[in-house]
Amino acid sequence: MRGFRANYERFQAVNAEIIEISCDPVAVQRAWTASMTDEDDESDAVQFPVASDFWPHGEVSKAYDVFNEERGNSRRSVFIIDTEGMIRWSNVYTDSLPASGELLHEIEQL
Amino acid sequence: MALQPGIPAPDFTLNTHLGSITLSDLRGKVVVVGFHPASFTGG
Repeated sequence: MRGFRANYERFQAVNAEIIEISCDPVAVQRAWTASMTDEDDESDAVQFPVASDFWPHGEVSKAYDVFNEERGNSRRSVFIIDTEGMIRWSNVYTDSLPASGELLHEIEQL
Repeated sequence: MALQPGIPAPDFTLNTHLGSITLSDLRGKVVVVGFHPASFTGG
């Protein structure tokens, strides 16, 4: 998430949009993105959507098969979807965070 | 575990901190969809 934010312009430069999702309510997503933002600087806002998969709980996470039934939340994961709506790359992260450089490299290969 | 490459991405509409978004509205762009366990943690 923070890596996506730091590299957002690089994703935009390769015609990519980012959607970040968790099972938190949208009020939490608003508070979380606000907490990362300097409220006196509009350009500091989180520019890509941070989405709530809260209700029906985890419905989208389940559709992508990354819902953790034991914990009731989403597994850390990334999917790259091409311009035609096909999944072209996916990964689940168990002990690391998504690396923007790797994702940008994969996008450039599409 | 996790949908694999080569299949259509399930469409969705979700509320976000920037308003509602629908995946299929972004056709023509590459979309990076990231899931994380809980906001206010590592993200």
